[in-house]
Amino acid sequence: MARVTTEETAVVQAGVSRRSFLKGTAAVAGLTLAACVAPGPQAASDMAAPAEEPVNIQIWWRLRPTIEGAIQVFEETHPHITVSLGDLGEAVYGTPKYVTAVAAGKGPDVSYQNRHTFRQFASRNLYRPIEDLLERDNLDKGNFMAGPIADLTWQGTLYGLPHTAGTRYFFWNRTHFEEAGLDPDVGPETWDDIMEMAPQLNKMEGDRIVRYGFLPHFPPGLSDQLLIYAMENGGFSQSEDGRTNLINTAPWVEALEWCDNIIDEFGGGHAAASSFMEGFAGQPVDPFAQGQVSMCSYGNWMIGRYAKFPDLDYDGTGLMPVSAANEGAQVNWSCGWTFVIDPNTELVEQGWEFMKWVISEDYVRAAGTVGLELEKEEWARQQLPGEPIFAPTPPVYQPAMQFMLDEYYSVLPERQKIMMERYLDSETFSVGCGQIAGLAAAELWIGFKNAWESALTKKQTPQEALDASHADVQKALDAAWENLESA
Amino acid sequence: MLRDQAVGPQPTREIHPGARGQPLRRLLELIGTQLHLVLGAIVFALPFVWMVSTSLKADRQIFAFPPIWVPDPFIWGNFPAVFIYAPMHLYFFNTLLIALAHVFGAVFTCSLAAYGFARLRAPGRDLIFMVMVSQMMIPYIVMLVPLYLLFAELEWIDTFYPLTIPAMLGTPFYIFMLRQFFLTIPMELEEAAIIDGASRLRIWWTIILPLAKPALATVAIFSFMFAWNDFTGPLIFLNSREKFTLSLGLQAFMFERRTMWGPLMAASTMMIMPILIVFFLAQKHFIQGIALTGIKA
Amino acid sequence: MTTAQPKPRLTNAAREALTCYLFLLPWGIGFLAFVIGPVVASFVLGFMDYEIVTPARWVGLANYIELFTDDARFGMSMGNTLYYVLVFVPFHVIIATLLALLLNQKARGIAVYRTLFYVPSIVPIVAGAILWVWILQPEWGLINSTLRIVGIEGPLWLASLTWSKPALILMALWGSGAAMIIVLAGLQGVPQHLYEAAEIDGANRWQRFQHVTIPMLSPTLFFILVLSVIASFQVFTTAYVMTGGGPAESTLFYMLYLYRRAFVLLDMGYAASMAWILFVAVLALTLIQFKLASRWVYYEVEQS
Repeated sequence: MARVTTEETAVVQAGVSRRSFLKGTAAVAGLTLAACVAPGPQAASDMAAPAEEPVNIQIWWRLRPTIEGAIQVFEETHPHITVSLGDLGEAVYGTPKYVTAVAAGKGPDVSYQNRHTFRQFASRNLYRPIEDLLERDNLDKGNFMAGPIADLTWQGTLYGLPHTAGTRYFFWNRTHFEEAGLDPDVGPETWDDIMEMAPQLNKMEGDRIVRYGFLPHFPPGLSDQLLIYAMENGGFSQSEDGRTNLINTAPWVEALEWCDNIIDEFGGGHAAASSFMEGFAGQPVDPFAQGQVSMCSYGNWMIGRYAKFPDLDYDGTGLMPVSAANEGAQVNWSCGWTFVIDPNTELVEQGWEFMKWVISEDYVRAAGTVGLELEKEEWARQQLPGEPIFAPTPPVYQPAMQFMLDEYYSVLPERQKIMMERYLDSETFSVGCGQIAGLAAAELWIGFKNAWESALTKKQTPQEALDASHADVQKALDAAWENLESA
Repeated sequence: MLRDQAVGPQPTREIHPGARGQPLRRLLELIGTQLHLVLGAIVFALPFVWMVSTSLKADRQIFAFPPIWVPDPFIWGNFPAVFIYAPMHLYFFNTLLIALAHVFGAVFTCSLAAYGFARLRAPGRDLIFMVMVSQMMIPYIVMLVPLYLLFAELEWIDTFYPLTIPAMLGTPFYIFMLRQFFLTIPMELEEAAIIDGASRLRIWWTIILPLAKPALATVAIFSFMFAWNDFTGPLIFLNSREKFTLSLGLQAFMFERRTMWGPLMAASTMMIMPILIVFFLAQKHFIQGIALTGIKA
Repeated sequence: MTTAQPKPRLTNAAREALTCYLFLLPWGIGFLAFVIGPVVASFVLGFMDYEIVTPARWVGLANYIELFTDDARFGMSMGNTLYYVLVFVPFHVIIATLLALLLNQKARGIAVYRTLFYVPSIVPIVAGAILWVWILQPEWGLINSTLRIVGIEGPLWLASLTWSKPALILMALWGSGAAMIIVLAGLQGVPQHLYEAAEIDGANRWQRFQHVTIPMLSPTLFFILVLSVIASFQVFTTAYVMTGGGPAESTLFYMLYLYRRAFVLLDMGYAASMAWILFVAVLALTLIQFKLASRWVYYEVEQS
């Protein structure tokens, strides 16, 4: 879209001074043009056959040594394709670079995208559907983890290939457990367990709490913290048809009340608990790693990071603790990254070839080779004892996952190995963030943050806070459906 | 002609009036001044000290609280490690090139326009001036998409042009600032030159610019610093690594769920060192004003 | 080059006008080439429903109507921003001036001091942000520890609904070194003979400051005032990095909300209309400042 017309091109070439002047108006004209031509899914017949000369494709991903190393391998094994690698920039809460380029019709051929806003964008045809390619090349959806595939499917059509997935663990500090006379091998399985253990794990200095058994608002700065507690309590974010937001229903309100109560009861109240937490707001500090919080729910990406704290003896081999109302249920959710093809690119074949490669074990091997070296370097640089713990982000494609397990996770200490098994188990019950978020994804994540903060700062009761967020999200959801159906 | 009026650097009198006062009072004032300076410097130097200290720490110490100021052990390796993740030396030259274009625009183009706005009368001049000032009031981010489209049509995406050409054609901030300075330069100097038959361009070059040296030094450092630290422009308009700037390079240490704080701080330290050195060397120009005594022709 | 081969027929005034336009020309080219188009485009977008991934639709005043009638965040974010502007701007101007006066003297090591005072304005925001978390930490942060010495229990700062904005203002004021440089440069333009004359007339230090320094510095102070207002209405980065608008949207500033609309919610048309409301508000304020300037700003050159 937004191709310059010949007329405009002529204007552009008509001399320097006039060009400068006219470009201003051309920009307006061009923008209107860009805005008025909708990017539509391209027919399969438009796909270009692989050319003899190497074809260059634009990929926006990350500029990391591991990725650059992998791209090098890809180019060596695919001599007919060269890759221009760009960095996507901020991509979780707003994607200014990608959005700007796409709006101007100049998006990359292939891009890396987060899954939590995926359906919102897929429903607007921001990505090319890939069902036809999948079918032609006999790529079995069953070989992928189910949650991510569901995230990327909008009205029966798959719009991208999932690359990685992250999930949640419940971590506990084994040393603290032993100190408190608790069994360090068994973490809490229910909310009642947490309520019982947390006060035993608290540590006082005078009338000040210097170690917290459990602080529900750790880790801070993750706007999805409320989500995991609500799911533990049997809540879900929206109705099955995706039209009704449910975050002010009973499971959510109870979950938020529960968090609020813990802070009041075992955390010395909002002021003390928040003042303890404040130093950590979205920042590098981690009281769990430093032994100042004994239990927390956090992501699988922490396995590698916590390894760099030699004094921390942690465990994460349990299931996510659930509320009494939800007893016996297995709960988790996952989010992660995905590759998509620009609906307007002519380089579908090349882009698709890259995508198939990047989800495979060949990529895991190529990136892992570099990643392991980097981990060794970091381990040596930080003067850490023992062997490096290399825990790369698990892929969604099962053969690649199996390869990673054999190659990298099999050599890890026993507990980390068990945690990886838990990760694989969770595939059967984890819900993907794309399904959670639906069509008003950005509003939902903002709504989580607002409700969470409003309730914990006592600006509003949990019910009021969730009602307010629900109203915001529902409004956006209604608008999204209306737009979709009127289009 | 200027020689007669130009006198060297001068102490500022309102704070140092005691040149001829009592010695004790002078001493007390001196101590008071130093005390203020030292206290202020401690507060203002904190980020720098913290940054350098963090750049020499291992993760387990960066994350410690209460904070540790002196690393143990010193992780000097964070500095060489920077280059594994980002070729900062390459980014350095890219950034320098862009920054110099900004300085050129600020010092020459902007001072030309500022002279026009400050010293020459023309119908519509003040309206044009307000239009220029009001340009700063439109949030940059709503102009990004149209700008991107414009640069895409010029085939300027992933080149330095979007980051240099507009800046070389002037920036309202610097024009406004220089205009304010030019407005305080006494008219007598210029009038004498006009009577001598000098052209306006010559007056701008030989009278105004030398007199405005502190102001020019200021816009130079401002524009340099802006370009050095600018993130949004390079992020949106540059794609390939060979063209990256230092501020984009810092992204190499910030992963989705994890930041490599040690190398990030080491890279930040390396990034601001050149500005600090340039500033340290240039700062005397801020006070090398031209004394405008004895102007009466 | 001498100015534009003036024809003998031209009057002096016409010649001066022509020269003036020529001086403005390089900037004018840039303005016409790179500014006016995007500005007009964003204005037009304000009347459209443009969600980037779908075609833009003309909706007339709908965005503006929704902003004023059906968007609580519009008023709230504007309120947060006004709070910021009203507190930040006066402090900023005063602190920059005081710092400049302090550093405009001949003291031992003054070059080092000037550099140190300037440092916070160039430290990359990601590096500075972490330090501020340490400074503002309620329990053992620098500020509250200091306050505790004198027996005051400090606030929760970034975790508090009432103190989150002052915390961000404090953080921004710490970067006053940039404005300090401008004042420092302005101080050089104060003619020495005026001080001498005042001293002969028996003026004391304060009187000299009041009657010589302030008037001669007024164009610079005016510039800083106008620019601080414009810039602080667009406050964004500190809140984006430190709080993400929280807690409970107490630091959701106008630009943060605008950014959210544009790049998170992909509501580019709505964001454009927000930008134009901001533009009109700031322009009005700036025009008032220019109007009032004649009462306190002293220029060598007569203003038309």
